[in-house]
Amino acid sequence: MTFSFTKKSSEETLESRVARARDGDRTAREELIRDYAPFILKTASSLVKRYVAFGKDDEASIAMSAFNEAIDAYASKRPGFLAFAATVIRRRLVDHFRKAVRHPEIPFSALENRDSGNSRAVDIEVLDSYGTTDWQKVIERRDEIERWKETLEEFGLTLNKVVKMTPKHEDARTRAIEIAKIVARNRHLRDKLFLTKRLPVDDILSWLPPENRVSRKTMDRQSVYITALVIILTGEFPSIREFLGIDGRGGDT
Amino acid sequence: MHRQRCLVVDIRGDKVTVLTPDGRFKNMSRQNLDLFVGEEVLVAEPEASKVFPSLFGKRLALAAALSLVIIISSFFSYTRYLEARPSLAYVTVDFVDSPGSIELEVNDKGLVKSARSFDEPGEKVLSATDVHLKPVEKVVAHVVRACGQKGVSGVLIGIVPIKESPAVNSLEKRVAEKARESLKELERARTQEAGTGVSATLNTLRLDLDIRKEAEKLNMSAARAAVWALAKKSGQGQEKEGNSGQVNITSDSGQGKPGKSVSVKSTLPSVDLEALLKAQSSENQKKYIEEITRAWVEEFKGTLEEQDEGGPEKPGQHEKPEGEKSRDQESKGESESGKRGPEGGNQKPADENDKGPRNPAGNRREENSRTEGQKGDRSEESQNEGPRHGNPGGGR
Repeated sequence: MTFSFTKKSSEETLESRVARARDGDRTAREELIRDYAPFILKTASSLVKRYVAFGKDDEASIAMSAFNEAIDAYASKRPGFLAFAATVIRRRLVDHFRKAVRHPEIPFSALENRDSGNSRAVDIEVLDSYGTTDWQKVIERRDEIERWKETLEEFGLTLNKVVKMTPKHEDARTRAIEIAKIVARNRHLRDKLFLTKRLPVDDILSWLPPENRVSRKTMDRQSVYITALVIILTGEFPSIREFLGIDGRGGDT
Repeated sequence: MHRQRCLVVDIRGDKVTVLTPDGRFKNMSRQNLDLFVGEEVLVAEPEASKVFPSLFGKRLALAAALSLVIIISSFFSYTRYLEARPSLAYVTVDFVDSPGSIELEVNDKGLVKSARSFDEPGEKVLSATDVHLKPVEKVVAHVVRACGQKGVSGVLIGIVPIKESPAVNSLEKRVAEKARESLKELERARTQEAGTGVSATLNTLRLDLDIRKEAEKLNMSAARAAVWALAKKSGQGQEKEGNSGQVNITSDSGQGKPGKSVSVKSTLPSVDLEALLKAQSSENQKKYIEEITRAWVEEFKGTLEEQDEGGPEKPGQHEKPEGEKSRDQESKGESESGKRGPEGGNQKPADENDKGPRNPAGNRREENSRTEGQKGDRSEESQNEGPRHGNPGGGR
């Protein structure tokens, strides 16, 4: 049995094939699964740490089912389907092992963090069982985040820089968010920001109501963070806004 | 540990950047987890990091902890330093017409190094209060208040310098001042309760280590022994009808053995120590008091030894020391009940004509100060009566 990793046509990307399959093209879906069967088996094998095969191991069937689910969830034209599919496969297999944890043949290693041997406390915990809808939201948020990063680059910023310039104190952060909201609602300030790709600090300072007044020094220090927030507030980033619980679109002032 | 829902915004190798709902970004180790940009994860928010959210905060906490350790160790070092300070003087507090006799060893910082009591009331006060390394004037004030609550007609403060220095004068002044304030408080309280004030005298008596040594033989304070000796010498001690109290004197047996005791019924002597000491030059006063105290102590010790040789003492067997004709002996066994020294309840407070001991004044320093409000009567009283003294101590 041989598998082909080549694209079906030189023009069509993997993500386009996924989109077709998700849109109801059964042939495209079957071709995708067949073409990527080695990838599915390899992903499953690496998790369970043994060779798995279709028709012989449950893990292979579960992995293939997860791949099929990844096709349905990947509502994006951005590259990254394979990484996403691999994540979905691994999560689905881990869920399977957890449910059957009393079975003697369960590879317990699969349930451990892949950094086993590291005694450090686990700081991050993934959420339990994602359904297709949940994965769709993940993809939607991922696309927004990637777009946000691209927009930041237009402003000469990087995510790393935004992270570094984020105010550490809650009060300062809250103040910056309020200022970002004011800029996002003010057409003049907003236009100037997007035109010059620089935060119009002087204009903002003259525009700020007394309760939001800050020093120029503070504004300069927080300008990167405020810019990043204004981009989120004014662009098509509803998932991020929802996550942050902010909405800057309260109408122009 | 609190866990916060965060949004994965970036994954680079083993590092992951998450966004918190309050707009913070956190760079963390990915811990080889299968993470995907855009998914929500739970991130541990250690409680400690809330308290010390930054590295600076952690350093500050560390510095504070170290400072605390240094402060605590300094405190103990300072306590050891104070304990090691040389002793300046012994301060004794005795009460006229009321039990209570203590001695405080004071260091050159004016703090109490050690304390001992000569009777039960004194013992009670000291056991109820931590006087160690407390300012002596405050301890004296407390003792006066505690022992004088049931009524006291006079306080006798003895100062026994270990080494003469100006600091002793200052110490004496401070102690007398605080004791006087306490006496005033007591008077005010009694005036409010009973409607009439009771005069209370405060006398200070400067003695020396030799007198203290003599007094120790009878397990009594130096000031008490000296006043009794002076009273006897003057011949002014008079038995007063019904004005007798039972005192218990215990000899120091040495070698850690229990001392012998003799109980006597005593009438408070009324002597004018001021007048008595006036006859002595200031240079001779110290020697004079020492001599008569030693003689008085020896006399009493002799009494105790006779009692010891004579087997179990029976009431009436004990020969009264000269000048103490009013004292009746009681057997050792019988004395147990009244062993705790002169009971104030058995002794009448000074009557109007018996205003207590004028200071054995003249003896170095004398503070014969009646509390305010009583001073106006002072000259008249001194003409009428000699000083009234408390019992010669209640050895335990």
